[in-house]
Amino acid sequence: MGRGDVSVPGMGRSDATSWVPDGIDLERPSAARLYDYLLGGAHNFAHDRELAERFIKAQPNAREIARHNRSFLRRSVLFMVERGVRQFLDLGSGIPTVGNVHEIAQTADPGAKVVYVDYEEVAYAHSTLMLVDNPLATIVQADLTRPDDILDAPQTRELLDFDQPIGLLMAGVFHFVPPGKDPGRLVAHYRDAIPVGSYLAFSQFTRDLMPSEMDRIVEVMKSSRDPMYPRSHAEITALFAGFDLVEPGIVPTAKWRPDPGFDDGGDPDRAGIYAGVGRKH
Amino acid sequence: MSEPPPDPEGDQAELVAPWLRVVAATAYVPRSSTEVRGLLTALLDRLTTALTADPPDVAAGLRVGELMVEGALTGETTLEGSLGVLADGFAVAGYGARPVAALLGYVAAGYAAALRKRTLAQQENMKLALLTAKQRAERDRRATENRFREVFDASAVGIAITELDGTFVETNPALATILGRPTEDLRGRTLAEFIADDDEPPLVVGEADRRRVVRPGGDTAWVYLTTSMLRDDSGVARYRVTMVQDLSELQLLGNQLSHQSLHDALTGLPNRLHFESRLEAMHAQTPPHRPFTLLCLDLDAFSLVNTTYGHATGDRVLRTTANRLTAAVAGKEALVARIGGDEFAVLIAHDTQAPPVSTLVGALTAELAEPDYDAGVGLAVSATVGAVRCTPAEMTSAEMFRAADAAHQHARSLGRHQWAEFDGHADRATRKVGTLATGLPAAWENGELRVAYQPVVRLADLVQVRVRALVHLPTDRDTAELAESTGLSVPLGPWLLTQSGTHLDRWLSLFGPVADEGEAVHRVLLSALQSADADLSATVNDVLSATGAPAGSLEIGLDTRAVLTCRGDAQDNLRTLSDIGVVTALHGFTGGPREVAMVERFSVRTVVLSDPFEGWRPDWLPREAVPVRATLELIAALRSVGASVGVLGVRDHAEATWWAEQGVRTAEGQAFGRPGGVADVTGR
Repeated sequence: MGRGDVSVPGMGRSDATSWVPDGIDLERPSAARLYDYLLGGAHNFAHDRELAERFIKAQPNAREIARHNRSFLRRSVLFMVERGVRQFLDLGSGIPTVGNVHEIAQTADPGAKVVYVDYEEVAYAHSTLMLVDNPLATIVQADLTRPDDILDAPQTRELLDFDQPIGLLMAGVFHFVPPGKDPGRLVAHYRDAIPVGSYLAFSQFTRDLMPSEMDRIVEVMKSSRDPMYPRSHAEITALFAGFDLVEPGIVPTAKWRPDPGFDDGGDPDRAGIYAGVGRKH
Repeated sequence: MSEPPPDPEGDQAELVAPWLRVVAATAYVPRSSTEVRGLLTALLDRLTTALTADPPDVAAGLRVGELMVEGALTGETTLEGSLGVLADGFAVAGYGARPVAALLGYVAAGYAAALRKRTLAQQENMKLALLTAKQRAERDRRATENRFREVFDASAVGIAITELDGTFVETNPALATILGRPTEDLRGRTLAEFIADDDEPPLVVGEADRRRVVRPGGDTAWVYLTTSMLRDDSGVARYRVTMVQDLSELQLLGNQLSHQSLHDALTGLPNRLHFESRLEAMHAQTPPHRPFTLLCLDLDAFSLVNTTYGHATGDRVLRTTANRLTAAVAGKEALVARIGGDEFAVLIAHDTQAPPVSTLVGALTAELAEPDYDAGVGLAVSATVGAVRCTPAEMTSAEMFRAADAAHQHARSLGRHQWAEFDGHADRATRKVGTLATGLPAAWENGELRVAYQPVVRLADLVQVRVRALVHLPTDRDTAELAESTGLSVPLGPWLLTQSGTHLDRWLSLFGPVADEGEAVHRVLLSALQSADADLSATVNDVLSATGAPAGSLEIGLDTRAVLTCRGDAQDNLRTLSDIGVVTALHGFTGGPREVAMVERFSVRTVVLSDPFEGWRPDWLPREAVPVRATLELIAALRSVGASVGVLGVRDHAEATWWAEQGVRTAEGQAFGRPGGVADVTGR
C-alpha cells in the first residue's frame, strides 16, 4: 500500500463491485493446513496438498521435521507441567490436530488452562468448534506480531492469571515473523507481560542444519500466505534474552530431551528446526 | 508338520521393540514411549490370540487395524512398516503363512476403513469450520460495509468513488450538496465535468488540492480535493476515491459540518455561522473593487408580537420576513441569513454601479411593511437596519460584519424603525469605549483597578464629613458605567466593599468628631447589577464584622431604578441593609410619585439626586423655571418623609451655595476635590 492508497470495504450493493476479499482465500495455501497434512491429517485442501508436495520435494525430510517439531512441543509442555506451570499461551497454534496442548496439559492436570492464538480463519474456526465444551481452553484470533491484541484480549485476561507462571509456546511459528517486525522486541514484549518463573518454548526453521534444503523451502513458501524466514543459532539465542535456557540449550528438535524409548534410528541433525526452552529470570 | 506350538509370551517382547522403532520412525504419536509400547503390546496380544485360536480368528485383525488408527499409528508408511515387522516376527515364531497373511490382510482392511472414516470426519469438521469462518467473515464484512455505508452517507465531506477514468460509481449525499445537484444527476458523469478550471494540472494521488467546482447556475465554490487509489487484494488499482471538502465551510467548522448546524430550521435560511463562512467565501472570491452592501436588521417590537399573538404567530412573522427578504433581493447576487432570534443579515454583491444604500434599505423596509394577513389579523413588521457599503479591498469580511452590526446598534440607539449607515469616525469612538470596557476584567486581573475616595461635604458649613469609595481605573472614563456594560460590576461590588472596608476605622477617627449624630462616614453607591446582587447583605455583614465598625458608619446607596423595578434582590437588599442598621441611600433619583413613595416605604435615609437639570447650572436658572420648581418640591417632599438629600457633580462653590439654600445636606463634585487615595483625603 503506497501513500494515498486506502482500503475501503465493499459498498454492499448487489450491482456494485465488491472490493472485499471473501475472507477466506482457499486459493492460497496456508502453513497451518500444510503442517496438518505433513502430520497425516485431513484438514487441508487441494492447494495445501500441492504446496505440501512441493515442500516435500524441496525437503524430503519434511514429514520427519514436522513430527519432531510436534514431539518437541509435547515434551516441552510436559517439562513445564513438571515444573509447576499450569497455564499456557500457545502462539500460532494452527489446526487442532493430534496432540494439542490442552490435551497434553489437561491429561497431566485437568485444571490446566490454555489460550490458543492463531490468525488464520479456518484454524480459528476449527479450534472454536473443538473447544466448545472445554471451559479451560479458548482461542483468540490474532496476529502474534501484535502482542497487545493478544495480551489484552478479554479471553486471555479471563483465563490466564498473569501473577502465576505462564508457559509461552512459540513452536514452529516464529519463522513466519519477518526480520522487519523487530523479532527481539516482539519476544521481549511477551516476556515483560509474564511473571518471573514463566517459561518460553521456542522452535523454528534454521539454515544451520540443512542450508540447501532450507533455501528451497523458503522459495516454495513464497507462494503461500506464510513466507518463511529461517534464523541462525545466534539469532535464536538472542531472542532468549531475559530467559535462562534449560539443558540442553538450543538444539535440533530431536535432541531436546528426547524420549529414549522412541528411537527412530534417524539422524537428529536432519530435524531442520532448532528448539529450546528458557525460564524467565 | 509337528512344529512346537509358538510361545506368544517369548515372541512378544521380541516383536514389540522393532515395531516400536517402525512407529517412531514413521508416525507422530502424542504419547510417551512407555504408553506406545503398552499399546503395541496389547495389539500384539490380540493378534497372537487370534492366530493361536482354532481355527485362527483372522477377522480379529480388523479391530487391530482400527485400533492402530485410533492410536495415531498413522504415518505415511506406518502400516507397511508395521505389517512387514509383524509378518517377519510371526514367520520366525512359526505361525502358518496363510493365517498370518489373512490376518494381516484384515489388519490392513480395518486400518483402511478406520482411516477413511477418520479422514471423512476430519473433512466434515473442516467443512464445518470453513462454513463457520465464512459466515463470520460474511458477518464482519456486512458489519464493515454497514459502518462504511453509514459514514459514507452521513459524512459532511463529499465522497466519490470513481472508475479510474473518473466516471462516478458511487457518490454520497454530501457531494450532491456541494455540487448542488441531485445524486441521480451525477450517475455516469465524471468529476472533471464539475471542475471549473480544466487547465489546472491534474490531481496528484494522495495530495490535497484546491479547486473550484461549478454549481448549477454557473456559480463556483472552492473545495479541497483529495484522491486515493482503491486497490484489490493483489494490489491492482481498481477505483479511485475522491474526497471533496467545501472549503468555506471547512475553514469555519473543521470537520463537524452538518446541514443542521448551518441552517435555521424555522426559516430554512443559513444561520449565523453559515452566513459568516459564506460571507468570507464571497468576499474571497470577489474582485477587490467590486462593492458589497451588507445589511443587519432586526424586527421592531417582535417580542410584543410573541406575547400578544403567541409564538406560532411570531414564528410565522419570522418565516414571512425571511421569504420577503429573499424575494426583495431575488435576481441579485445576494445572500439572506437569520443570524439571531429576530435578526437577519442581507449581503448583496453589486456589479459596478451600486444603488444608494438608502434606496436598498427603503426597498427592504417597504417590502416588510406589507401587512401579512392571517386569521383576520394583519401583521406588518418594521425593522431597524444597519448598513455598510464597501469593497473587499477596503475591509475584511469580519470587519464588514462588525461594521454592519455597529451601524445596526447605532440605529437601535436612535429608536425604532431607524436605519443607519456605518460611520467610521463614530465607530472609532464607540470602539474605544468598547475596548476599555472589555479591557476592564484584564485590568482588574492585573491589579490596575484601585479603590479611590471622593470627598463628601456637608453643605451647611462645607466641612468634609464623609468619603465615597469608588473603583478607579486610571483613565478618564467612568469605570462604573464601563463595568456595568460588561457585567464585571457584579464581582466588583463585593470587591469594592471589602477593599474600602479596610479603611473604615480611619474615616471613623477622621470624620467621627465632625459628623452629626447618626451620620455615616463612608459612602458606597452601587450600580443596578450590584444592587440586585443576592449576596450583598452577606458581603456587608462580613465587612462590618471584619472591621468591628458600627453599621451606622456605612452608607450604602442602591440604584433607584433597580429597586423600583424589583430587579433581582434589590428590594430585599434595601430592607435588609436598613435592618442591619446601615444608612440606606438611593441614587439615580429622578423624582416622581413612585420613587418618593418608595423612600417612605423603605425608610430610606439618604436620597442622592441624579443631575436634575441635565448639566445646566441651577444657580443660573430663573427660580420660576418649571424644572427648578419641580426639584424644590421634590427636595421638600423627601425631607418631609425624613430623608436627607445629597447631590453629585457640584462644579463650584456658587453651585454649592445654591443647593445649600434649597435644603440639600451633602454634596460631592470637583468643587470639593476629585477622587484620590487615602493619603489625599487625610492629608487635606
